[in-house]
Amino acid sequence: MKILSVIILILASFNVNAQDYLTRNGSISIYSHTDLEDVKGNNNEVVSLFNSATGSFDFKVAIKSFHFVKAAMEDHFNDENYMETDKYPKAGFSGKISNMADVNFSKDGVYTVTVSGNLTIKDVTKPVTAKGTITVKNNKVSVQSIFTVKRKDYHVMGQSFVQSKLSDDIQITVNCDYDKR
Amino acid sequence: MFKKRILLIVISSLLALHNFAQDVNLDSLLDAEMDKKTKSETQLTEATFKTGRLINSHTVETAQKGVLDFKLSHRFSATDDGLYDMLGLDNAISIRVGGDYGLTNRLTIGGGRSSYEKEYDAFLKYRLLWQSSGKTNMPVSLTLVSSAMLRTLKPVNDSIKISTVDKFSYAFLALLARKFNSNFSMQLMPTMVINNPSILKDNSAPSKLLSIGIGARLKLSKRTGLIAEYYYQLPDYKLPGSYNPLSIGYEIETGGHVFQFNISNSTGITERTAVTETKNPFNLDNLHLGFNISRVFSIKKPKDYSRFSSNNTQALPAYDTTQVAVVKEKEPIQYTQATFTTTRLINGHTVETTQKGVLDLKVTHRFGKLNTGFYNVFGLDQASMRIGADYGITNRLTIGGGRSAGGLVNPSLKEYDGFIKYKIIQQSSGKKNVPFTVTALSSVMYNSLRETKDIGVKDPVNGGYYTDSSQTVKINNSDRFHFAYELLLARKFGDAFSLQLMPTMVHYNIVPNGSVPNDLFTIGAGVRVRLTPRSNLNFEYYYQLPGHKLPGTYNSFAVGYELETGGHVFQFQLTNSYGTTERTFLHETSGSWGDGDIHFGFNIARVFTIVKPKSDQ
Repeated sequence: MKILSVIILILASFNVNAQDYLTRNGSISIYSHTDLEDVKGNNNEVVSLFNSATGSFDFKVAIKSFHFVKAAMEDHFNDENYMETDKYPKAGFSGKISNMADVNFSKDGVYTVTVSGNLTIKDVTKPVTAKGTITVKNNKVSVQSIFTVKRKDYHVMGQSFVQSKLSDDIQITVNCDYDKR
Repeated sequence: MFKKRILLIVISSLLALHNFAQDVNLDSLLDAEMDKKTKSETQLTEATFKTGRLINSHTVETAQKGVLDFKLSHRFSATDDGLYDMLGLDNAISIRVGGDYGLTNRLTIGGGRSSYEKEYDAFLKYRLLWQSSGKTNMPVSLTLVSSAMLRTLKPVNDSIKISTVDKFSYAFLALLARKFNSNFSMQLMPTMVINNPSILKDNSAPSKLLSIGIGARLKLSKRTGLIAEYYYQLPDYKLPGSYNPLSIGYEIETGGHVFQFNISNSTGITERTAVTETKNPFNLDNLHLGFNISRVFSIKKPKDYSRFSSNNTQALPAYDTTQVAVVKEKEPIQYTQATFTTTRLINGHTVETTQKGVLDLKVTHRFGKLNTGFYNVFGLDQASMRIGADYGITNRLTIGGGRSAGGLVNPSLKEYDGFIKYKIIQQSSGKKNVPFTVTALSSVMYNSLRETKDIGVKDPVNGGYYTDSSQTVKINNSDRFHFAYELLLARKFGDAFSLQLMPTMVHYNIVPNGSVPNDLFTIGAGVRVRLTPRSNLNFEYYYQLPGHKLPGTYNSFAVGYELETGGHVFQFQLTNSYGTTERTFLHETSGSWGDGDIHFGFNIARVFTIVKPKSDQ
């Protein structure tokens, strides 16, 4: 009996601090810079979830929701030479914020965190580590992070004549405002 | 006791499950969000057709706001003469140059000029209904077009007076289309063409001509498709002796352009000529090849990410058509790349050779003389053409060939040419310093004009032939051949300036008289001056050595403006030579700059990779 009560109390205690934060319209932008051309795309329909107790941090995006100012650029981004959106409609990240304990969700402030996990783009999953910030203000939580990936690691190749207009390093900027779930 | 235990186990497992149940399935959440967005917004159906024209007919598509859709169309003479006149390509019956401009996404204004009967046209097009799904469901698109056409061709007999009012025709169309799925779209085009009754040759012919057209597009791949168009003229509302036009085509969309190649029994491009004035039925004797090229230019940049029509395909970034390999800095020898932009300067070759495994397609036109005035659009109504290609066997060895036709500028010119070109020395710096690039060229030209007692020239306007019986032509087979040998010597002086010298020898098997040698020597000079990273100004002059000139000819001088964009090199030029092979432009230039015998012309070069290079360059 006693053991069972202890078990129940322990299980119940897991509920206390565990808080999910969810957003359905987070923002992720991608940026490539070369002397000849800048490529910028924006996605405002990112779905993301993180848990303040376990530190788990995930986001998922629909590739079709990346928008570019030039229609031709958006068209090409989705075609068989780049993202192959028909085959791989989504991309995502699944990982953990390693120093979640440093963040005090009840106190306003800007906290520096490190996220590491697996980034999946098309059919490739690769480990990624990035620095980011969690901002707590008036009970609202937002996450920002900027990191760079090598597009060729994920088979985002492009035709031969665009190589000089497209950087190998793509800068990804994450900016999401979360609500308590 | 027993009950308490079960209760505790149940509570604890529920608590445990609660912890796990906090996992959210992001995948299905994303799907749910996307679904909600789709249902809450109206998605306008994009790209029912690739562009604003199917083959001759307008489609429901309007140009995007602030975008100019440049349109070029050609309809050639009949294919029934086979390869002799390149399936009719030697003679264009009608060429239309025009543009469509989007005032708003639904309202397009446009116009153009066709060389057939020298007809100007202007139209206004409004998309009344736009097929959509999501919040608002609209099954079809409906676009209204109202157009006016003006013939300016002067009658052959000056005594026939036609008042300006009578030269106008009008067309009104209601285009109804549906995109059934991403591969198949169909359109109905009830059309009314109005001519002025006083000009009709046959008084019983109606002035209001009614027809119902049907068109369809079937996609074969993301960028290519089959297109077809047929107009059924209502029996009491058609011109006597006219047939219903049927056109079948193939379209390719690439890099901001839509190319459509078609075959039809009709030769016109505007509503009046294409729909109501088809002179022959659709059978093997009366097929005409044609093409349409559309290219969009953004005049006003879009402000934000939202768009309604995927027709706004802007230029792909340009690239150097000599396919410059990225020079690794560690390499001790830096070979000079791109002394010139492509393998031709204006009329003549440059030292550049085509990269290994690459096919460089070349289209060249030389139009009539500028001094033929505005009526003939400064020579644009007549053209001499060459189509050809260069292929890189290795980076230094190029093989190539082509076919030229004098068209209306010189109907007795039908010439094939073939050449081989080798880059002997390449300019380089670094470990090995070589100041020049030297390329050798050897070319053979074959004149395929038929040996006839009378020179028969096909009349592209009325069909049939007209003959010039003042000349009797007897052509020996050996007379048909000409040979050209060149040693091209060039130096690139930095990015801004390149200079080339072209000592040339052209061998004629037969010359007009004894005082002209069979081997004619010329020394040419060419210059490229860079204006912007993608455009240059080119000059080319060939000096025929004294005693090495055919009587009545001048030295060839040309000025060109060159633009490199999206895989193409466009060169626009002014020259006194109409010829497109070494023999014709070096030694048979019969016009002089001083007399205004200047021909406007253009070259288009486009590279295709046939054999992919093994290493990542």
